[in-house]
Amino acid sequence: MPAEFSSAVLDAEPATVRPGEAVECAHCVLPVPPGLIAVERDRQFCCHGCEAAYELIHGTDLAGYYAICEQLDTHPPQAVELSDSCEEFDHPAFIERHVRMLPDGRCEVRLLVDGIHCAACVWLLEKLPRLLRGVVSARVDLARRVARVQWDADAVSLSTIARRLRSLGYAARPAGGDAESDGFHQANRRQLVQLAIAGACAGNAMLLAVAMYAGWFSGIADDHSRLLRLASAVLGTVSLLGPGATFYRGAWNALRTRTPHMDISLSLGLAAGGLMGLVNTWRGTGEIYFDSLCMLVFVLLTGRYMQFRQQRRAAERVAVLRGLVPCIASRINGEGRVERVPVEALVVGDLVEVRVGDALPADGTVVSGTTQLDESLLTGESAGVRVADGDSAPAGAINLTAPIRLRVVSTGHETQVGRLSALVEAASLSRTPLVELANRASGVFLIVVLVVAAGTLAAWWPTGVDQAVDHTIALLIVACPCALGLATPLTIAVASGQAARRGILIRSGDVFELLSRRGTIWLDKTGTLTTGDLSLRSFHGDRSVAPFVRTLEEGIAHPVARSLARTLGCLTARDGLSEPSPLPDEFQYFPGLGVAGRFGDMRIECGSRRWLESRGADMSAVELWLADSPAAATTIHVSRDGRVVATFLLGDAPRDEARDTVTALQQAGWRVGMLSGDQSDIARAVARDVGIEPSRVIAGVLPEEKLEVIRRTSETEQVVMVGDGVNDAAALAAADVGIAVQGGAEASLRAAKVYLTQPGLGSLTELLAGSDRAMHAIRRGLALSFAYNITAVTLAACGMVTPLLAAVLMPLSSLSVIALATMQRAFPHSSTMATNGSRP
Amino acid sequence: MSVLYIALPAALLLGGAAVAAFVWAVRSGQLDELETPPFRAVFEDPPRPRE
Repeated sequence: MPAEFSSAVLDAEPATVRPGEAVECAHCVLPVPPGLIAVERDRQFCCHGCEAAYELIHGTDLAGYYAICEQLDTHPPQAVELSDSCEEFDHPAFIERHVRMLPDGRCEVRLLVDGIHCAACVWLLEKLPRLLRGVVSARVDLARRVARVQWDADAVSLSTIARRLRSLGYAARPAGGDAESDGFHQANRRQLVQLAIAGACAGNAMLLAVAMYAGWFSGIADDHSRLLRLASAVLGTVSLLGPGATFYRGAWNALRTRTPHMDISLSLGLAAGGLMGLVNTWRGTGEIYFDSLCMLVFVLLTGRYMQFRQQRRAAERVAVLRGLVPCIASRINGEGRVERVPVEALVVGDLVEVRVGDALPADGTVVSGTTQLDESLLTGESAGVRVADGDSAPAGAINLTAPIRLRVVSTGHETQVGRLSALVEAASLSRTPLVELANRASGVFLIVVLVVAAGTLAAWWPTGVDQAVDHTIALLIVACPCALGLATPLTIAVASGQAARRGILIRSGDVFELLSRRGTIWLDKTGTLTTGDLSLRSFHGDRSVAPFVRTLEEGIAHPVARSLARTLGCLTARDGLSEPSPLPDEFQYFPGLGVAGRFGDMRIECGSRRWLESRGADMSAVELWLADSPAAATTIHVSRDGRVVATFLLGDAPRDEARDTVTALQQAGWRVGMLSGDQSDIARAVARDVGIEPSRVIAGVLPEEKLEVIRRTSETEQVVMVGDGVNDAAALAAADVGIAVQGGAEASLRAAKVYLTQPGLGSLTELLAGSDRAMHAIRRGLALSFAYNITAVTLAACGMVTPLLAAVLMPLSSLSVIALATMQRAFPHSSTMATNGSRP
Repeated sequence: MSVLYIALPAALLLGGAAVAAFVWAVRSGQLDELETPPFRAVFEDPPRPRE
C-alpha cells in the first residue's frame, strides 16, 4: 500500500496553468488567488506558508502524505506563514503546567492539534522526528486530536516544535486533562481485566455444565461428576470473588444510602447461590449453580462496560473542542516590550495587548485603543460592542477592529467566564436526580422477588429444608435481573452508538426517556436558529455597482466588510458579474464609518447612512427601499458620484432548515419557544421568520435570566434547551435535556447532555424521532424480560424449575433481549456519514 | 475415562494462560486506544520513492 501512495504523487504531472481556469494550491488544494499564479513554475501555491510546507514535506522524503490525502479524499490544512514565535511554549509557567519530565531526561507534552482530521495527518505528524531533529517520538490519537510528543530538551525547544507544526498547518495548544485521561485509562483497564476473567469463567463453567447435563440424562460415573462439580466450584468462586465483587460493593453502597438498587438482589442471589453451591459441592449432592452465576456476572459486567464506554466516548469528543479563553497572552513587560506568556502566568495589574481577531485572555480595563468587541458568546448579542479607554472588557470576547491594551482586573476562575462555568457546574449538580428506568423497575422487581422468595421458602419448608432452600435459590437465580438489567442499558448503548454515527453524541443514558415525553423546547437564537454570521439579507438598487463594492470591502478587515465581500461574491456570480472590478485608483478607509474609492472617474463610497449624509450624498432613494426591509439588520449604503444607488441589508440569517425544524417539532407535540440574549426586535423578527409564536419569545435576557426561565418552566413541565454559547451553558445544564449545537463553546458542550456535531438543526428532529423509537425498543425489551421473569418466578415458586429448564431459560432470555436491542433501528444508517463524524 | 483427570486441569490451565496474556496486554496499555493503531499498522513503513 505505501508504495502505491508514494508512486501516485511522484508520477503526477506538474499542474499546467491555463488562463481563466481555477488553479489549486499544490499543498492545501484551495484555489490560488489569480495574483499569485506564476505561469513559469511547475506548481502553484496559495500562499508562502503552503509553499514552505510543501518543500519541507518533499525535502524530507514524506511526499506520501499527499498520496494518502488523495486516497482518503481529504486535503491538508492550509499552512500559515510563520509570524508567531510561539515563545509562550517555553515559558516556565507553561512548562510547569503542561510538560512532563520523563525519567530518562526527555520531556513529554500532550498537544491538542486542531488540524488533525484524518489518517494522513496521523501519518505525517508521527514522522515529526524526521521533520525536526531533537524530537524523539510523536504519537497521535486521531479520535481525540491529541499528539503526545517526546523530545530532547537539549536539542530542541518546545517552541520550535510548535512552530514546525504550525508551518505544516497544524496549530497546537496544550491538551490538558492529563489526570482525567489517566483516570479513564485506569478504569478502562480495570473493567477489561474483570470482563476477561468473568468471560473465561463463564465460558468454561458453561462447558462443564453441558457435560453435567449430559450426564444427568445418560448417566455419569460418580467420581467424574465430582470432578466436574469441583472444577465448576473453582471457576464459580473465582468469578464471584473477583469480578463479582463489583456487585457487592454496589449493593453495600445502595444499602448505606437506603436506595433500592438492582445490585442488592443480585448480590443476594450471587452470595446465596455461591454458598449453596459450595455446600452442595462439599456434600456431593444437590444442585450447584456456578454456570448460571458465572454467566450472570459476565453478562451484567458486559452491560456495564458498554455504558461506561459510551459515556466516555461522548465526553472525550466534547473535551477536545476548543476552549473559549485563549491559552496565550501578549504581556507588556516593564521595558514596554511585548512578550508572549501562557494565561496562567498573568496576574492582576498586568498590561496585555490584544490583536485584532484574538480573544481577550482575562477580564480587564481598556487602557489604550478603541475597538469593537464581539461578546456574543457571553451575552448572545450579535452586534459588536464598542469599548474605549476606561471601559471594562470580559475575557473570551473577540477583538474585532483595532488592537487594544488591557489592564488585567481578574484572571482564571475569577473572570466572568470563569464564574459562568462555576454557575454551570452548580446547575449540573443541582439537577434533580432522575432514576433511570431500569433502576426504577428493578427496585420494584427486587421487592417482589424477595417477597416471593420468602413465600416459596415458607411454603416448601414442611416438605424438607433441603428442598425449600433449593427451590428458593432456583427462584433467586432464574428470576434473572439479567434480562431486566441488560435490556435497558443495551438498547441505550446500541441507540447511542447509532446516534453517534449520525453525528449526535449522547452523554447521559436518560436522554431517550426524557425526550420521549413532551414539554417545551427553548431554542437559542444566535448560532442555533440562525447561522451566527452576518450575511446579505436583501439588496436594493443598481446591481452593477456590486463588483466595485466587493473590491472595496475586500480590502478591509472589519467583520461587516468581510461578510459583505463574501456574500457579494456569491451574489455577483449568480448575476454573471463574477469578474472582479479593476483595483481602485484611490482607496480610503474611514474606520468604523465606511470606505471610499475612485475607479477612473467614478467615485464609489459605501458606509453608514449618517456618514454618507455627512459627505453630502443624495439619499432620496433610500426611504422606499427600507420600507419593506426586515427589521434588525446592519444597513450599508452605496453612493456613486454623490448619489445613493444601492443599499445592502446584512443580518444574521435564520438557518435554511430552521422553519421546517420548528414546524416538525410543533407537529410532534412540543411547545417551541425562543430564548435570546439579543435585542427584542431582532429576536421577534427571526421568530416570525421561523414560525415561533411571539408569545413564546423571550429576548434580551442575561445568562442568569435564561437559567431562571428554564428553572421556572421545569417546575411544571419537561424542558429541553437547545443552544450553543457560553451564555446558554447554565441554562443547558439546568434543563432536563440540554442540547448543544455544532460550533458551540466548550462550556456549553460540557453542560449539555447531547451534542450535535453536524451543522444545522437537522440532527435535532432526527434526535427527537430517534428517541421515540429507542424508547419503544426499551419498552419492548422490558416487556419481554418481565414476561420471562413472571413465568420463571411462577415456575420456580411451584418447584418446577429443574436444572435443565434453568439451563434453557437463562441463555434464552439473555439472547432474546440482546437480539431485540441490537436489531432496533432508532437512528437509521446513512451511507453519506463518514467515520470522521467528530470533525468540527 | 481417567484421562479426564489430566485433560480438565490442563484445559483450565490453558484457559488461565490465555486470560493472563490478555490481562498483560490490557495492563501494558495495548487496549487503551483502538482507533489510531489500525492506521498506523498500514502506514508504518516509510514509502520508498521509485527511481
